[in-house]
Amino acid sequence: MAEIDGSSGLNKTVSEQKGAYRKKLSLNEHALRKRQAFKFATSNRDIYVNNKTPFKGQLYKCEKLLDKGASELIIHGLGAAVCKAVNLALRLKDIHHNTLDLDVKTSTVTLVDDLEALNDEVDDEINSRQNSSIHIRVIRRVPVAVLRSK
Amino acid sequence: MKKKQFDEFLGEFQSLPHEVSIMNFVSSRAHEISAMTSSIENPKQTKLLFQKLPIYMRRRVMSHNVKRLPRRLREAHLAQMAKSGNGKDLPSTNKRLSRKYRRRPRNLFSEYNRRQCDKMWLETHIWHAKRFYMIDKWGYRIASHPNDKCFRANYRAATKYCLLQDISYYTCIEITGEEKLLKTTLKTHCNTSMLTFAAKKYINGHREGTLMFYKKNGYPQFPIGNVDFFWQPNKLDVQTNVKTIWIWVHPAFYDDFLNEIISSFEFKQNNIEQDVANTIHNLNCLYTNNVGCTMIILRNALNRFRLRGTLTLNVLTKALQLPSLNKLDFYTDYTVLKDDDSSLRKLSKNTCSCMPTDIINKLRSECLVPGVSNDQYYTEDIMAKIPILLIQKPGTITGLGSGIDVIIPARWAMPFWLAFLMQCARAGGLQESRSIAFESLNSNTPDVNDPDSPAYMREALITKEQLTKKYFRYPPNRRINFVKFGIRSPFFCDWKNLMKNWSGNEDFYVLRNREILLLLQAGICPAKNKNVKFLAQNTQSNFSNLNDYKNCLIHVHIFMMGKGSPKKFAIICMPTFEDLNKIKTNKKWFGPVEKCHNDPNEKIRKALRKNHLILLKRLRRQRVRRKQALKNNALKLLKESDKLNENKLIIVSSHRKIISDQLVKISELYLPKCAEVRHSCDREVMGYITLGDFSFSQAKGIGIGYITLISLLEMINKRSNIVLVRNTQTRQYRLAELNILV
Repeated sequence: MAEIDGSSGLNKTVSEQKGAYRKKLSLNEHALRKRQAFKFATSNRDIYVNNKTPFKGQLYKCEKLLDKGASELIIHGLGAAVCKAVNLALRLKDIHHNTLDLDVKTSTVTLVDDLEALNDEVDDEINSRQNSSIHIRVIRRVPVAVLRSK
Repeated sequence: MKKKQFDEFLGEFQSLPHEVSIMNFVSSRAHEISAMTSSIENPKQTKLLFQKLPIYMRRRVMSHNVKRLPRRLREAHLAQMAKSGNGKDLPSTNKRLSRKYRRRPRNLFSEYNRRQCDKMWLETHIWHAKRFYMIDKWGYRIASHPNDKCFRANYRAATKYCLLQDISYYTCIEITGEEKLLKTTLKTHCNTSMLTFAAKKYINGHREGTLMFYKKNGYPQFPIGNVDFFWQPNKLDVQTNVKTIWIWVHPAFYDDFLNEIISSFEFKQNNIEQDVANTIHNLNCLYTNNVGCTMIILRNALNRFRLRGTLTLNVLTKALQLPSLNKLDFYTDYTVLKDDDSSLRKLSKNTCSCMPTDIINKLRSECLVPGVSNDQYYTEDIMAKIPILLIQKPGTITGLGSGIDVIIPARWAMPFWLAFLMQCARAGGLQESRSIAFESLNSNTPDVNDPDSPAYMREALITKEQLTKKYFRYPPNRRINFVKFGIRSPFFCDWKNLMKNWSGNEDFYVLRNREILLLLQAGICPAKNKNVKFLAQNTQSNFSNLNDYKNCLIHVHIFMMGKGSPKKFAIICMPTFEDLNKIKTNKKWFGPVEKCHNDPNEKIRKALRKNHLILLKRLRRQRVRRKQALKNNALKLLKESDKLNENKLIIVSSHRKIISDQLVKISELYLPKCAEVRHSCDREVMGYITLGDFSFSQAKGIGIGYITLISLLEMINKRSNIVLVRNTQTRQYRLAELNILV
């Protein structure tokens, strides 16, 4: 799982890093290319929330899984999607009349950006940055019969 | 008083003429004789030869079995049968040889050689030919697409699993020489504002680069195509300034590339110095020049497999095994797996032979406990150690198009191919390379050529001819009337006329200047991309100084906003102000409809066809009349038969010419040449789509195309990136978002 960083010196280094990285990009020597974030688990019950997919669709996906008889779901949200993940979990709890328990865990994820060289003189570089993420375990308190076969 | 003749003496009335006119007499006899000889020479027989035999000589199924006929009649009988309809299944003419005979190794081998004589086969050809649709392209016989229904499955393999392609048709060119010289010479073929061959990123040999190769100092007008290249890594202990570069060239523009390289390095062919490696491939592949550079063309000396998808590494690690190198000191030169000190020459020189499977199986059968994991006898010492080279390729952010290329020495393709397939890699063909480039919106690959390159022009000409031929094979009432749709070029993209209409000059080239493209991108869809943001901070957006780039085409991609998917040759049009207002007010509106154009040629075509049919009828009547006459005066005309044949030939050829002329005339009326492209339909035409379809990764129809710079500037002035796209076979425009590909 991702590292949970609590050191106080982090803030300074992060801001320094950010400055250096902005500078590099502004020199027009590099092009920014983000790498895809690492997915911890891709089993059936893991749901990764993003800002592009409509909220209703994501809700429906969770509902379907719960109807199929899943005892727990894990909703992951990264960065800007944290808000949406929380929303989703709360809405689920609401729909199920508080029969769901939420176990919230926050963490910090290291993301990697590639700085691709645009000139002959410079080499490719890698910039790693931190982003906050949330993992919400949605657990069923009351056993319910399977409502949906498939 | 006349003397009485004999008959009159007897009281009868017959009398003979007193004199005979010799000429008449002889001529009539001559006719009779000639008729007699002709009837003897060309007997009008209604019976076949064996039917005329006396009954005691007849046998059952005589017509089928020649051996039942008397030997002297067999030849004549065969000649008779060959003329008849049954002649097709005569044993001597066309019968297929037995499968057993054809499958004998020697016969099979000669058959394969015969089929290869005018094109080249890859090493995995036979495997592919059983499963793929094969096409002749670029001098090779290449697998185009699989015969089973698997387009989506192959896309899934390329994203989630592993897609395997044989791309051995690429040619590797090795150039060795002084580092500085190589760099400066190769730099003249590059776009110097971007990464070149000499980039620091690539020079240490850790990465393979892809870039557009131009004619010498030909940037930006004369591109040739995208080439892959990598440098030989430096050995740690040796410090020399001699470097080697390997360039992989696609066969579509291989000849252009080679000519350019030879002329810019001033290479001369060198046949005296023949390496051992040269015996493997063509002899005429070593070039040298005065400055000490050498070029070796490793054509068909190496195999290159492309593995794409997330499971690529799993496939490779399961299929290949790293030998313990410390045991094999003498093999250190031969590098194995991922070792950076490798040399392609060594790869091609490698002469390890593959051990036959039966020997391996015999060795394995000696084991008491069966199983591949328990190989006592078939150990590492016996196994062949093959040097291979792995090249990693990054893909898009989602990993589409990322994977590893494997380079394998000649004659080792099949074992490797089968080993990869055993690890559940899916095989793909040419169609898959194109679809991966399309899905990942990657214009920087050799599979797709830009419209200003000669390779594109050749390809476009071929497709145009094919499609036009297909079009005219349809009956007239099933032919789409493109004039009514307002489509001027249904089977090709008319770049020249498009550019002429927009800028007044026919020449065009694709804009590849990154900074200007980013500027334009910032103009058309403000502050979407971070790169653009940083650039916009530095440079003032200023479109007034773009006059030098008037003749540019801009590479764009198009996302459909609602329904529909753009197809090849679809037109990209500019929306009017009313359209833009409608889009704003009505979100469900899916675009305007083109008015039905009036075809001025329709009446002309009809009249022409009518006249042509009448003419054909008249000619037919003439032919019949002539034939009848021939029958009646057969004897008279017999002597002049040579003259007659000549006449006949002339008549036939003249008739054929009438028909072909009519075809040309009609085809010109169906697809009239027209210089006006920009205002050819209701909306102004900005450009064409070159590649379009439904995209699985975006889950909607997308297209890649080119538009003119001036039209793009107009779009920027209108402050919208919504364009109209119309396929060639419809009058419905559809809305789409425009983005610039950088």
